Amino acid sequence: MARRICFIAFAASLSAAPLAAQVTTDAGTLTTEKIERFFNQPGYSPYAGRDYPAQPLWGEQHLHTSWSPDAFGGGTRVGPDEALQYAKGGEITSNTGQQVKLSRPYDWMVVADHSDALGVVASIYDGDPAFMSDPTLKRWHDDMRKGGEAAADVVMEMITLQGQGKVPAAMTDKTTQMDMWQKMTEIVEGHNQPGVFTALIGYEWTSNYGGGNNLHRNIIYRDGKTLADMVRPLTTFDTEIPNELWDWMENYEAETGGRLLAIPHNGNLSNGLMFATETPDGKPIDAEWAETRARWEPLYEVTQGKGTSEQHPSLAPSDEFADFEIWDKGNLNVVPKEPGMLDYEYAREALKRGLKLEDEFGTNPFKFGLLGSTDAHTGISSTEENNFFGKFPTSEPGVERSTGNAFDFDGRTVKDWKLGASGLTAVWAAENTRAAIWDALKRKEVYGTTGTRIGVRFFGGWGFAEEDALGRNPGAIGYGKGVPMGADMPPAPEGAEAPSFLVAAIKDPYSGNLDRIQIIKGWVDAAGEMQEKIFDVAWSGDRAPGADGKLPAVGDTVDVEKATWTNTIGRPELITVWTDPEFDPLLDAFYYARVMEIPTPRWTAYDAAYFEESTFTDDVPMTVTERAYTSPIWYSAGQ
Amino acid sequence: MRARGSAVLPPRFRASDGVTMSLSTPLQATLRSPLVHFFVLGGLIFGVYGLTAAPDAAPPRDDVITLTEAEADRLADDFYAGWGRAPTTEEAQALVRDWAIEEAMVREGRALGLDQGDAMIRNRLRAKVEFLAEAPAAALEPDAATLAAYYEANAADYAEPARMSLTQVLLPAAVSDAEASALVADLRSGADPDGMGRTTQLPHRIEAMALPALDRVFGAGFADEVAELAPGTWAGPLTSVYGPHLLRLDDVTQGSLPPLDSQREKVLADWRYDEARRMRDRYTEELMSRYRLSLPGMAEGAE
Repeated sequence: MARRICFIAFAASLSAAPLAAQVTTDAGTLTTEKIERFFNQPGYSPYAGRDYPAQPLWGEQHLHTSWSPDAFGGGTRVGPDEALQYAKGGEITSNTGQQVKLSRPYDWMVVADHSDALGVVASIYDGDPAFMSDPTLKRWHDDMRKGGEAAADVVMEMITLQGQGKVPAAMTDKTTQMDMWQKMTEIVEGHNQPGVFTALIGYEWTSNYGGGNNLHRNIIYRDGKTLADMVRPLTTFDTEIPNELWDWMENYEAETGGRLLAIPHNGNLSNGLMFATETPDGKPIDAEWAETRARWEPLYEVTQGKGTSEQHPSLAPSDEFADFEIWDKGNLNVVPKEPGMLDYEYAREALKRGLKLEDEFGTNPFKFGLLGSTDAHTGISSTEENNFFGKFPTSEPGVERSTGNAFDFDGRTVKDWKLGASGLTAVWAAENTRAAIWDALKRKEVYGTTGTRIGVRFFGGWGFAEEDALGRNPGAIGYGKGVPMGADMPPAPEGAEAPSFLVAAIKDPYSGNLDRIQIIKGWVDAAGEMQEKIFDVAWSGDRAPGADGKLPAVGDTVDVEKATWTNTIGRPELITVWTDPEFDPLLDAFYYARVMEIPTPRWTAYDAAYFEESTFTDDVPMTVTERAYTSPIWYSAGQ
Repeated sequence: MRARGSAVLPPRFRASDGVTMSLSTPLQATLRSPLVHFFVLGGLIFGVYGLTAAPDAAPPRDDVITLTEAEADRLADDFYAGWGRAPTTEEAQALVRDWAIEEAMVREGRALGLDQGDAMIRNRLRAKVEFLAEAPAAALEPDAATLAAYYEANAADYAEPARMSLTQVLLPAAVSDAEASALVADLRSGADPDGMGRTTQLPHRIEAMALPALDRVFGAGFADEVAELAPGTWAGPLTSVYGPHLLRLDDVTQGSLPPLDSQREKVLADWRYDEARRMRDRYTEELMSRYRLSLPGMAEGAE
């Protein structure tokens, strides 16, 4: 009885679901036998022995605090300690004195301050025995052991003596140095709680080669303080050339036995350098360069506060969602772009070019997964449109950010309203530890969103069938029959005709419903030309693609004035199996999923509703279409 | 190792005369001792002081930049710290050249007063003084009673949260009350929930999940609604952002405070953290008591 009612309900649900349209599942043909056979596969229990990740772990790898000089200079007072407390769900005071808290804690975080700020400072220590032979230092030592007020008095006395020029001589011997980096790793270590919250060690190497051409990389450690302290972080005083950063990373691993990876960002502000086919100092790349980049840089930060770098609308005129939070005025110093630069700045172009370069060099240097982070310089990671605390203290909530400038170089400006409340990273790791999260980053089993927590599973294989989209547990089916995002397609079995993909998305419970899932395919054709195509594979409602093959827009429920929307359009969940209808086994290709939410109010709309005196101009966007970008799955014809 | 591009410099070397470099003990070893930690932090201040007010010698002539042996060692150590090897002759020359340029420009900058009013320099100095003020906390050892009292006073931070286990079935949004009631009745009389309801990516069974985490899965406020249910029996529908759910609360574990010893390390670290903040505050207060604040328009000497 229950089963029967259930299937009536089931069918009712399907008739309104995208499955009906896409997987050509005719609900009427679903039979109890078919479903039960599926659910009762021998040995198949979704819960027994489950060792794949059940929930994605949310966080970001690109937050600056008051320890970064540009943040410092901009008035940021929130340091790494407070930043990590906040990431764990604590309430802190912002740089402009406002209380701020996340709607939900993060699972992990990397504070990535600029290494150039983490410089060394001359210091004095040269060994315990030398100190202990001085009676004052010995007394201080003893007082400190007493603790409490006695210990605090030592500090007071030190400062007094220093003012009188009576500091013990042993303390002014500059034979070694204190390092802010070690203070940083100490703070991060203190916040790392395996199983609950992972604080990864990292820093940003901030190369602005040639004056504002953004070649920045975040360096992410798998290791704890002990190893991270053994090697001084690289600064751009050392070098501004990425391949020399890779030399340094190799040295770190050799010295310590630890592990590192680097994540570039803001190709959109690199004025043609981020994915160029020559090094910034003008040398053509070669096979060794390609291999080295692929080894150290498995990921790319595709979306963040200073714009989204998935694809530029001029490079993909048929992609109606490409024109999203685009920053294409110039580089980081707002030096204007020249024609052709855009071709080497955006992720999708680079993923395609990587296939081409692989033909030439034997290694794809741009075989990266996608993730998102904020790059906020406030010590406050905020990506929710109704809780956006800006990029600098000047763009924290307030009337001023409706008209202020985020960047101003000799009158070449970018307005504060251009800043995006983006992005976040979901990691498919089976446990919340440094090792598990770092390993997932390394194997690219991660995805980025523009700030909301859309759940996305994406698997590729040769045997996904439409009923796989009806199972209770897409994760179990996906891992059982295919490979996850970030991986290579396994070799095609005998008789396989085309790759198939299981893709599933579930809305952020705090944000908008889902509009559609798309699969974006890139390849190099037989003539050597780079190609791309976007397939709508699952969507809400009873929409059907028009004559141009385009699915109509989902609609828009946003009330800009009140900064509200309703989930009366879209769906909470979408799932489907899609098989590439244009597959050519002789051509290399990649596939990634893009999941679109329905329109919701942008942070500018929340501001306009909250601050009566804000004065946004008419060209300021007031709605946003949040989205997730998965890491690709690659097919190689040469297998 | 390739030549270092356009950029110049890292750290250190000791003259290109072939003398072996002397390298300091790795810092992390020295930092293991809290006392050392303290003095190293202390050195931040005194080091800066030493640079600006070298007390032991007349200032060198302005047109001479002297690389002292100690400074050369520092450059070499710093290079070694980043690259794990000594610089080549070429690199060493680049280091010295860049160091000399830096030194000359720093002198010029100071002479022009460019170090004054620089927000970055001022904030960095402030941060270092703060580290210095709170440094002794790293070496504090509370007695048992102090730590126990701290643990009690902050019990909310250390308590295990209440946890719930539940089983749920997600129904289509359009399910009627009658259909839902019929399903609840079937479930109560033993029908198998597996395979029932809508295909969903939400977990069907949840084992011992902390209440706040439940909200992260189903949306804000859901945990509170679930907490109202009678354990062990099917109920519903309860509506989350995903639709109507039938739900059985299988188990509830109330929150509890585990013994202090089970998380002593963390509690100790937190206690030291609080002590550090207290020391910093006390230092700030005492420091400010040594100053009088004079504001524009204020009579001379007013507080």
